[in-house]
Amino acid sequence: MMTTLYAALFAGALYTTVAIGFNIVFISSGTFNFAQAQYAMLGLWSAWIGLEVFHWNLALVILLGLVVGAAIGFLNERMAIRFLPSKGVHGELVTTVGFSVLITGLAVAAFGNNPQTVHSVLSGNEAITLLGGRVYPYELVMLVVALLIVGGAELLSRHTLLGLAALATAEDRVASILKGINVRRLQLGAYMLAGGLLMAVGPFIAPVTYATTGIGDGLNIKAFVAMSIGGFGSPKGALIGGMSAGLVEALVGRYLNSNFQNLALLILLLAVLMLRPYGLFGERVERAV
Amino acid sequence: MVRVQSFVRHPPRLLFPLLLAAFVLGVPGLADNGLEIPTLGSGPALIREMEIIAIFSAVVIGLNLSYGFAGELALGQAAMFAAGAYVTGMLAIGSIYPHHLNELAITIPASALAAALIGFLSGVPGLRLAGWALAYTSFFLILIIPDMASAFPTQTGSFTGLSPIPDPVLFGQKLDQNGIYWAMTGSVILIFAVFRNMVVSRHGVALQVLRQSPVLASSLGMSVYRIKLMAYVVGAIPAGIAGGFFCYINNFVSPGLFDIYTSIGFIAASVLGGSRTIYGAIVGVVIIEELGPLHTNVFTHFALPLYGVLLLIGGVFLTGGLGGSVGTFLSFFRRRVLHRIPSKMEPREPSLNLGSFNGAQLTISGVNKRFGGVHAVNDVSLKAEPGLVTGIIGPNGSGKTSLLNIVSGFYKLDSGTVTLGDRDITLLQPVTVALAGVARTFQTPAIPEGLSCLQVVGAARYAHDRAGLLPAIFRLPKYRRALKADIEEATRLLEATGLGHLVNREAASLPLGTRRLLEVARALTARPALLLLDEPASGLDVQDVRRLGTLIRATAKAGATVIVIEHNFQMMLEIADVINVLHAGRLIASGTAEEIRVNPAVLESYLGEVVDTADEDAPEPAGAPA
Repeated sequence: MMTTLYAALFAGALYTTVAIGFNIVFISSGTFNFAQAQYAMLGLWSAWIGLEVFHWNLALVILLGLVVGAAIGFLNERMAIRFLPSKGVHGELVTTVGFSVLITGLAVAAFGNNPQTVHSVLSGNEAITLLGGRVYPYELVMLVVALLIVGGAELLSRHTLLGLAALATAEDRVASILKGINVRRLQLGAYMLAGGLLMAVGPFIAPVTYATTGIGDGLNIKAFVAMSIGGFGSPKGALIGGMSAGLVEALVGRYLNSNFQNLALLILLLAVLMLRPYGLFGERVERAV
Repeated sequence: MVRVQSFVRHPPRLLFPLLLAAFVLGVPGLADNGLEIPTLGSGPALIREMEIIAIFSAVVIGLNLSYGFAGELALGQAAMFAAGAYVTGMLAIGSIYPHHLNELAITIPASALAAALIGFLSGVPGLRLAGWALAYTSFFLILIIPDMASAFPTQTGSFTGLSPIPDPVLFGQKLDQNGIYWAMTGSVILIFAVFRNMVVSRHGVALQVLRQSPVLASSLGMSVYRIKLMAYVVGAIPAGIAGGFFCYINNFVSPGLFDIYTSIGFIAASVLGGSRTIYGAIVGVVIIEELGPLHTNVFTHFALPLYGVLLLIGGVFLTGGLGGSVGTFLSFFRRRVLHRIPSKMEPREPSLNLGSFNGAQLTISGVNKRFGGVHAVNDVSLKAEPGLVTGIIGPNGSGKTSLLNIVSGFYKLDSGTVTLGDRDITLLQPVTVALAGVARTFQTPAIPEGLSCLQVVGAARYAHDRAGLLPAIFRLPKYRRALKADIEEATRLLEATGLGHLVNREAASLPLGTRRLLEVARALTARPALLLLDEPASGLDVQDVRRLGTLIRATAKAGATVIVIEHNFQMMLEIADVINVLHAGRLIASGTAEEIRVNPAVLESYLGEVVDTADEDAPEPAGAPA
């Protein structure tokens, strides 16, 4: 039972983190970046290169993830968002899918389809028994990392000028421009921050999942479930949504049948969309005419 | 004299599609005689390539309907395709039902039904939020294909899948390879004919309207949700049919055949060929098929970066796709070179032949609306009578447009009631309000692109005079009647508003003043009981303001209840029978033009405090004593 719970907590932490990445971009630019989850996949490979190939220290590997992730985020915004014709509704549907496919394809070309082991450097690699369940210390480390990210995002969005500017832009883009907020720079910054953040956490995820190119799609969809439950734009909601998704997945796997894990999440997503389409912490915005 | 052309966009000439269909059906005969097509090959290989192209074109035409025309990305099109393949496979092998049902007339409709059902189940929740929700619910369907396969191993054969699939019979007759080819390409040709008829019908115009402006669509009484759901479910059906045929020519079905990158391939083909086209689907599929074969999964992973680049380029630069670019050029050529449509776009004198309206009294009582700390509408009560023009004036931010949005259902009021005739329309959805007989215009004219004036105006009748999908596809009398009425009514009101010479012009490219009149014509085409005009005169020149004033008077005279919101004090004094003045959310005065003109509270709030010298700047009502 506790072992299942630990697995759920790790998965939940992972989904929460990716959902925060979605949120950063969504709040600051009003766009939804389909490619976001692939940054976490790339982060696994930067962890593998840094820790296993070159044996750098952890801080350097995190820095590498931040810098490379921000650079790819820059390309992401420039290639898939900036030059979209403004007339089409949801033009980013196709372009961010395209960017996602592009980076996944390049990762497959570079690293192949075989997973690579990445060892944890911050904690032991032996499972320990805690409260009657088996858990790897690095799973708990990831949980702490995710909580720190949620706390950071919450602080950033409520208590800094930058966060307030992002919230204002989400609320009313035109009014924000008129108030002197540089929404284009904010948008670019958000793509870079979200990209850097998700790549930087790679070393904390990789010991569990291995470095693999195939993880992005599942992560993408589950983080979306997390975000739908919690509501678009709320870090707290992302945490609750991520943990719920992780828990449902783990419980169904443990007590029903692992073939029904994804189905259960799909049903959860459909139920949320039917009952509370704006999520638990999302607000319904009245349409302005 | 303007010739009334068809209501819908000039339908593609039928010669080319018929030639193409004849060629496709003739390929087996030609292949026997040594036909060779570069890159597609010859003999049996050519036939196989043609089959694959036909199948994928069918999937992509469905995607075009839901993505290109309805604006919702069905990322899970591969799941519909898989559902079709599995249903046909299971029936053909007999793993789901003890008797062999390898009859095309059963397997293919069953596959179509399965795809439609899955489309419906994922679309009902997925379309609750615009944008990404549908993309993800349908994406999710792909993710569970392997799970479902391994959860039901006896039916689906788990990871190894189902094989070999026996050749089917059609009405009891055993089909040879050419027979399968003809059944398959014939079905696809039929699918294209059906989709073509659908897209160039009133429904196609409605989709264009709601994709570009859901707000406008609901103000015309179109249920955005229902129409999108219809497009998504109908768009899933060809994928199911294609999946069924794919199962036969591929000879096996397994979960590995269908992943997200299969869908991405379909989307790339759709974008490349032009998502808002019909025959572009074939262009896109041929290109993708030659670049990185869609059907052999081994190659797709090498094709990924290429697909990614194609989607980026397609999404940013090629909004109409290759097919769309050709179409734009053709229609430009036709209009400018062949027909030489005159380029004068100013309105003419309106004929004012409006017909009659069955007006209804609007009663607003005790309405309140707050936005956070702002009390936008503060305990406002007023009435508007049929046959009269009721004006609402007030400075910016006084609550005029909020009030109008409350009446038309776009804002939910906090307290109070709104009644139209003897019907309570408080808190109804915009669609229901529109269907109850309320039509409106917008401060910024909402004119969708790519439609003619006739289409824009005629679209107002879509929800009021319904003709379903099947009548449209088969062009049944019911549909023809509705279409004829659309054209007649729209033409009449375009002439009544002075736009009769512009029926076939692209509406979105007209000057502002003309677009405002066009909005009025559209609102009138719905034959509303209550007409709401939101600052119709702003940005108009003197001539246009005069024409508009005449038109508004005539509309009231024809029986409609008319409410006008305006800044133009002069015009209001001339046209309104009753004027209500709002200030900071409150109704501060109500009366005839003469009463309002001298009302001290109005003069203070509207013209400034210095009442004595106001005469110089104050607009004077025509014929009123100074």
